[in-house]
Amino acid sequence: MSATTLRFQSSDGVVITIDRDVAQRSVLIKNLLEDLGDTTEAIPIPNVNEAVLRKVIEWCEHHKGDPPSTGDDDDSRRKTTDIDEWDQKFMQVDQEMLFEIILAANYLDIKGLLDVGCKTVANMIKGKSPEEIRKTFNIQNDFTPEEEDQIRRENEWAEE
Amino acid sequence: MSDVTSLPPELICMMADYLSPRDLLSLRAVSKDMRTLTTKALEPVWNRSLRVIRTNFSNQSLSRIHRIAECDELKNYVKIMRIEPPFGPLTPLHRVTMYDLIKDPTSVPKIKTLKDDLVHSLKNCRSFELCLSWNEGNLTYLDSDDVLNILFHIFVEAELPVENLALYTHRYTEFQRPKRARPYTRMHKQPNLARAWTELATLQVTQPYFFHLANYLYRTLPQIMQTAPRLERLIIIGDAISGQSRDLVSLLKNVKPLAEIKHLEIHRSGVALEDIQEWLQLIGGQLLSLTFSGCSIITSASWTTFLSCVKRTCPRLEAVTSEEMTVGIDCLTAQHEGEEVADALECMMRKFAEANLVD
Repeated sequence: MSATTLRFQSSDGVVITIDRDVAQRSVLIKNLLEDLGDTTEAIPIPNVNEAVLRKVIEWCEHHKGDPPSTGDDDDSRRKTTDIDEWDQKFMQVDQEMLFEIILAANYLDIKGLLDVGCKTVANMIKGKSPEEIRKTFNIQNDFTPEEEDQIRRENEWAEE
Repeated sequence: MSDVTSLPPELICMMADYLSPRDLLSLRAVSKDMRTLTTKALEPVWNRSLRVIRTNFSNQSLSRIHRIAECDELKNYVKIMRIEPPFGPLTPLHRVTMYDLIKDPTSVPKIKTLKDDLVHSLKNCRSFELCLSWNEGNLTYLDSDDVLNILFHIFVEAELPVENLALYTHRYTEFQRPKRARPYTRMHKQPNLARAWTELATLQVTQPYFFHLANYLYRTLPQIMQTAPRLERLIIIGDAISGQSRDLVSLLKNVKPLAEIKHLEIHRSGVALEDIQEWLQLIGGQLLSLTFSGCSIITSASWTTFLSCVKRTCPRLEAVTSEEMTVGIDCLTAQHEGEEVADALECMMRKFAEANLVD
């Protein structure tokens, strides 16, 4: 009989106990457990700090009843950016946290969370001019005026 | 500090799936990092917009091509150059009198630049499509002769490995037909074409609408066939008004190609099977595939006779296709590839014969 809870250690050394079925939302951990068998040791998650890990766990707990993703849903090319209400609220965090969550979801291989993260960022970009995108993400414009001109012209070619 | 640029490229690509091309282009213009990160996601966008580059050989249009050629990130997307009328204006032209071809066309600065770009930058652009037009050139505007002349000079001088050449006409040219078209052609003044066609693999020709265009095209085509050592695919398309390609076939069936023609396609035209039958005597021995698409017969020669001739004269045939063929009152489609082409031909013969009986 395998244990119903597992212990994980965040990159900043905090040990968190999680239900096994919640933890298995992460494909990385699922595969790890298959290789590892039963363990009572705290499993180190070296790339994710406590705050981010707790956020990720919160998401996994809310979505633990979701059907597992089939892996290849790339058939629909024009993807919708609709996000359900709970996820929208969940993603209302500062940008640093948002990107940390996306990176963690990518590392832990949690497809659903990664999709929500990508959609959230995409929604922040949609319909904005380059200058507005710079403001939104606080990105420095490092083009010279000539380069900017060149890019504007190139972009026109795409729209012809 | 994590920000959007700290995301690895594959995540940017994932996110890009949710963005429209316009959003991606805005993102590209944000910063150098973003330009790099969006490169992969924008590939389909550039592919769609730059694969075929259209020009009328005017100064303005040639300048634009030069700017694309100068852009290292984008120049390789260009695969096909489509030259469409009305041609020009191009200056300065070295035309001595109204009716002369341009002398030494690659000495026209814009054309020289185009030649250099095609050699050094636009290295994937090895297919050319020219829409022939009846319009006559003047001191600044070009006509089809001029454009062919320019193209052929570039091909020959640059020893450009042209892979595909398509010569076609637009319907609208018919509406504005001049009262008196120039009765002669100037094609004999073309450079020696042999060196232009070293890599030419596909030649696609649409039967032109009227005599003037046909006249000079019919001088060029045999030249190309007789000098292109790698030509292996011939595509013949009937003109959209009369839906015929008989003149074209009658012309080509007497030309002995330098290379072995492996694929013959005839699209959208009324065909005189006896002409093609005669043609197969000349090129049938090397033919690997034969395609008819949207064709109907315009003489009394029957498909049955024709297909049995195909069986006899094309021993190497591996694929035979007939798509949407009007036979009797039926529209037949049959396709075969691989072994036992002979059986497939028999089967096709039966089908065609049955359809004819209903008629």
